[in-house]
Amino acid sequence: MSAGAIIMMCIGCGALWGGFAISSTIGIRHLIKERKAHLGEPVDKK
Amino acid sequence: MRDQWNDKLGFILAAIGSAVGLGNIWRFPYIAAQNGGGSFFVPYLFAIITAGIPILILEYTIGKTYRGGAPAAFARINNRFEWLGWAQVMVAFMITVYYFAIIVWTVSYIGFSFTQAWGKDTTGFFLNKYLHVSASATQLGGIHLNLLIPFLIIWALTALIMYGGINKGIETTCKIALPILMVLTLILVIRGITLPGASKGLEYMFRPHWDQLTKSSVWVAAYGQIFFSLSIAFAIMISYSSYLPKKTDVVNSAFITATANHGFEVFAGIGVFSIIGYMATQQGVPVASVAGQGVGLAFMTFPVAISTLPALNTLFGICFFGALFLAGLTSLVSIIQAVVTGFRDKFSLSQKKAVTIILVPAFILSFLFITGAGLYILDIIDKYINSIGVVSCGLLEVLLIGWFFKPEKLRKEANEFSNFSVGKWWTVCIKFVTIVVLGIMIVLNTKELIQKGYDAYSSTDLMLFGWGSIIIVIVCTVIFTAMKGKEGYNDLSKVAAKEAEQ
Repeated sequence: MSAGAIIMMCIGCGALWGGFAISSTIGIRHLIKERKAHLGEPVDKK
Repeated sequence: MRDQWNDKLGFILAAIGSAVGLGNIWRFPYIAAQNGGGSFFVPYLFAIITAGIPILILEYTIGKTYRGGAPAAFARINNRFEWLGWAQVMVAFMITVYYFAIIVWTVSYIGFSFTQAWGKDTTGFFLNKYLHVSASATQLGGIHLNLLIPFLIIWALTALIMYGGINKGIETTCKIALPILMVLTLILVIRGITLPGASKGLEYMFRPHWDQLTKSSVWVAAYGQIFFSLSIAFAIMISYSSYLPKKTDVVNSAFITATANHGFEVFAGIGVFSIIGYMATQQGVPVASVAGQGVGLAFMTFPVAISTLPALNTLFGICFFGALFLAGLTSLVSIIQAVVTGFRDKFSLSQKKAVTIILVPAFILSFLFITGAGLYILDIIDKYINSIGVVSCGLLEVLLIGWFFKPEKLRKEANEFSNFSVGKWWTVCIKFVTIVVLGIMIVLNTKELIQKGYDAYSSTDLMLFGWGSIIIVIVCTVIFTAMKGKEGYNDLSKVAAKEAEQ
C-alpha cells in the first residue's frame, strides 16, 4: 500500500472513531455526575 | 402513558442500529473508491459536520421537544406542516415493504454459507436458482417455497419485536444485535486484512486522487452518502427521539450516533475491500473489475470470495451475511416504528394496535418482492423513493424549519440540556448549506430520472413502480393529513399537560 493510502485510511478512521471516543467520554462523564447528584454524593465540579 | 427508553444507552444503540444499515457495508466503500478514494474523506468529513450532524440534532430536538412522531411533531410546530410528517411516514412505509425482501435474502445466504450452495456460478445461482427472476418487472412469475419460508420467519420475528414496543422489543433487540454486529465485522476485517492481496483492495479504496476534489459530483456523492446513511428525513429519528425523557442531551447524542455510524462504515469498508483485493489477486484481474456495490456485491461477488478462501469459508460466510442481517434488522424495526409512531400519535392508538394496522398491509404488499419480478420492482422503487422521496422530504424539512419556523428557537431547545452547546454555525448549516446541497441533489436526480430513466428498465416499468410509488406517497400523504385525528393531538400544551398528569 502506498503511504498516501495508509495516511488517508488512518485519517478517516482516526477522525471518526476519535470523534466517537470524545463524544462518548463527555456523555459518560456527565452521566456519572448526574448519578452522583441523584444519589446525593458530592459532585466533582472539575 | 407514552413509552420511554429505559436509558440513554438504549436510545443511542437504537439510533446507531437504525443508521447502521446495509448501505454502510455494501454502498460506502464503493462510493468512496469511485469518488477519489482517500481524498473522498475531505468532502465526506465536511458533509458530516455541515449536514449529517446538524440535521440529526434538528430531528432529535423536534422529536424530543414536540413529543411525537413526524406528523404530530410537525403539526405541533405548525398545523400547516403536518403533511410533511405524513410524507416522511409514507416514504418510510414504502421502504419497509421492500426492505423485508433483502433481509430474507441475507437469512437464506447464512444457510447457504454452510455448504457454499451457490457453487461456481454465483450470479446464475442468485438470479435463476434462488430468486427465479422473470423477464421483466411486470411479469411476476409466481412465488417459490425457498423464499416463502424465510420470508414468513422474518415476518414473525419482526412482528414479535414490534409488538414488544420500544423497551422490550426495539431496545432489547438493539442491545443484543449491535455488539454481535460489531464482533462479526471485526472478524471480517481481521480475516480480510490477513489475506494475500488485501493491500491491493485497500489501495484501491484509500489511495487519494486529489484532482477529484474539484468535481462537484464528488461533493454531491459525499453529501448523498451522509444523508442516506444516517436515516434522516424519513421520520425515524424524530420518532425515536420522541420517546426520550425531556432532560436528555440531544447534541452529544447526535455526535455519538453520527461518528459511530460513519466510523462503522469506514471500518466495514476495510473488510470489504480487503476481500475484494484478495479476490482480484486470486483471479489475476484488476481490483476495479471485481469491485461493486449493493445487491451484486453481496449476493454475487462475495459468495465467489467466500468459496475461494483457503480456510474457514463457512464461518466467513456466516459472519458476512450475519452482519448484513443484523444491520438490516435493526434498521427495519426503526423504519416500521417511524410509521407506527405516526399513527399512534395522531389516532391515539396503542403500540400493538398500530403495529397490526401497519404490518398487515405491509405483509400483503411485500409478497410482490418474493415473486420472480421482486428484484426488479425492489430496485426501481428503491431508486425512486431514495432519489426523489427521501431527498425531497429532507429538503422540505430544512426549508420549512429554516425559513418558515424559528431555527434559533430549536437551537435553544437543543442546548437546554446538552453537555456542550451547539453554536450559530448550526443555524447557518440548516438555513443555507443543507438547503443548497439537497436542492442540487433533487434537481440532478430528477433530471437524470426524467431524461435517462433508470438502468435498462422500460418506461412502463419505471412509470408503474418508480413514479407510481412517488404518486402513492403523495396521495396517502393527502389522505392521512386530511383525516381527523384525536382531539388535541396537534396541541403541544395539551399533550404536555397529559404527560404531566401521568
